[in-house]
Amino acid sequence: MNPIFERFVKKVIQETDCSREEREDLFEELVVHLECACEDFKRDGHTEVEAARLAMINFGDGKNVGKTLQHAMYPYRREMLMTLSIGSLLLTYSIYLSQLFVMGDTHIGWLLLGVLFSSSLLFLTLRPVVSLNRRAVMNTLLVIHMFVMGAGMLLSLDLDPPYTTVFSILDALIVLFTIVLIFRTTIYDVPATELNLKTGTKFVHYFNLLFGILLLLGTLFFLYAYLIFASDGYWGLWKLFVPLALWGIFYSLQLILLKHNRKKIAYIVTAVQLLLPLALFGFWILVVRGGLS
Amino acid sequence: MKKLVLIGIAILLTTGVCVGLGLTQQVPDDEKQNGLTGIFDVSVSGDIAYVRYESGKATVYVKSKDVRQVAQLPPDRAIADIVIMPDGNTLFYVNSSKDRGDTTERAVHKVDVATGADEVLFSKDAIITELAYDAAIEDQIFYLQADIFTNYSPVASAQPHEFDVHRYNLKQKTHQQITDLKKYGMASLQVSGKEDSVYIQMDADENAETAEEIFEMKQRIFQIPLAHPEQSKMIFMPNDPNDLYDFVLVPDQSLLIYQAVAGTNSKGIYEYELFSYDWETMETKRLTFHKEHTARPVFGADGYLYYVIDYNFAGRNTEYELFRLNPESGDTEQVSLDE
Repeated sequence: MNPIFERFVKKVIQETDCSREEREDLFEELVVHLECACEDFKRDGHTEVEAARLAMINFGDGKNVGKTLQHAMYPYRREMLMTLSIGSLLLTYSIYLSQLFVMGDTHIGWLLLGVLFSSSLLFLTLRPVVSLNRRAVMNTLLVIHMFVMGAGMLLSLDLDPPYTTVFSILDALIVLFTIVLIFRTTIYDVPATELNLKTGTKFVHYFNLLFGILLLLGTLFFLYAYLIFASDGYWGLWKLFVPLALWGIFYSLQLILLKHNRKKIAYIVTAVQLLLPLALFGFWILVVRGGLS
Repeated sequence: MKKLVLIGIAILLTTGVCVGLGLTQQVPDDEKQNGLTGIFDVSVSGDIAYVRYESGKATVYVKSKDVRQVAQLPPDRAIADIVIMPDGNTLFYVNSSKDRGDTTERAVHKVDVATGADEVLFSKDAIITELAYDAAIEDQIFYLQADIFTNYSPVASAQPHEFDVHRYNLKQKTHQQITDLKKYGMASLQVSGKEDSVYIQMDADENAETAEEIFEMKQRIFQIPLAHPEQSKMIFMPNDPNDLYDFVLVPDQSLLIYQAVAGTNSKGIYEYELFSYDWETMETKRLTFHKEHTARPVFGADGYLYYVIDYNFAGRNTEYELFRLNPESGDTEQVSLDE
């Protein structure tokens, strides 16, 4: 394999959001394409070096080709992530400065978190790191980003009008956009394996992600209600998070079962997930009421 | 790569500037309060004593023909209540810490309005929330004292509890505890020399035992005879209002003027109005129609009913304005506190 082609193709692939397997396939495909082109030029009477150079020139600018490939494989993903990260950065600065100059409060911790996660998203979009499992890192960043911007919503609601209205709406849009990108990264921007192409897998992802968000909101609600009414004793508080932990276990279990083609059992586990709100309510009764009496 | 470095530097610089601004421009919590509070009193001569915050400093003003500043506290102190003597020459105020959990050293000050001479009348390691005075009971100043200050849950703000009514003899410089109720909440202390009683708003919880019953209980006005404090009685109102909050008694007219919820605005925030209850005719009448947070009724010797409106009720900062109402005509007007 020509080491010049390898270096060239690595640059192309760096511009894409491919998974490790997709990257390996793409790498091989592009190197073979360049080598074939090189052979053609050699047959036309060009020297080895000249043929390699002409093959790369004909292939086009590596960076642009990478971007085109990225767009073809994941349409508008980069643009969406850029919009989210730049929008989040601007909103973080705006909310922070409004809190400072309108309310006199400084929230440096939140500012640093907001900037850290927004800029991490931005840099990972602009400069993909080949060695990282990009999808897992991206989704982790998006989930944390959602929480950080959720905290930003509390700061927006704390402002005086009209700042509170403007920033609350913008923050809600950012949080919604982040959720959309979590769905996209999980369901659509995945390697086209046999498992991921199945409709059933997509359904399981949709169901679990939606359910996870609802369960998280329910847990936070009960936690808030608990903190309002609880006068003492916080040792039982962990019980409220049991349904969320079960959700994570059940979600993983469903994917493992689907991977092993145990569709029916996977769907049964999906149906069992429906009982988790009841479990949450049960834990609420146990934690707060100390039982049914 | 160069583009990324530039973006990184821009983000670092912007964040650095924001952090720098945060460290230099932050306003300490103690210095944030500004503007009129709902704490005021009106003397027989029509002088209005009121508290205003100026960059966090609680400042007492008296408005008669002109406006005079008579006391100002450091930013870490607050004024819980104020009482002006009927002649308008002396006023008392409660000096407490802004750190509401700090129960040490609550002092009641006495101020000579003419000279501004300020002296500590007495101080206590307890929470004094209100003062009351009636010229018919000479040399006695009554106060509400709470013994603990706690929040009943981590996300609720701390509030004073275990209230009782006390009095201080200005001549003998002695304290006397009048009630022994340790009430969860008490407010709107009123004194009537004519009735030889104090009146107080508190929870009607004598029959409440379960958590549900305590949650359902309503706040009512009680009369506590000074001679027999244990024989307190709830003031009966035939048209049972929902929770009843602040109030003022006008014994000469057999009138009770109280604050209660009258509705809810489009944001779901309660609107409070003032109502009157005539305990001879048993008639209830709505007095104000502001559709705002109308509060702290004070019956002035000039025959007007004074009260405040908080235009930013349930907001982060209060926005009080002082009003007065002519009970006969029902006309209301804003009272200017400017010179």
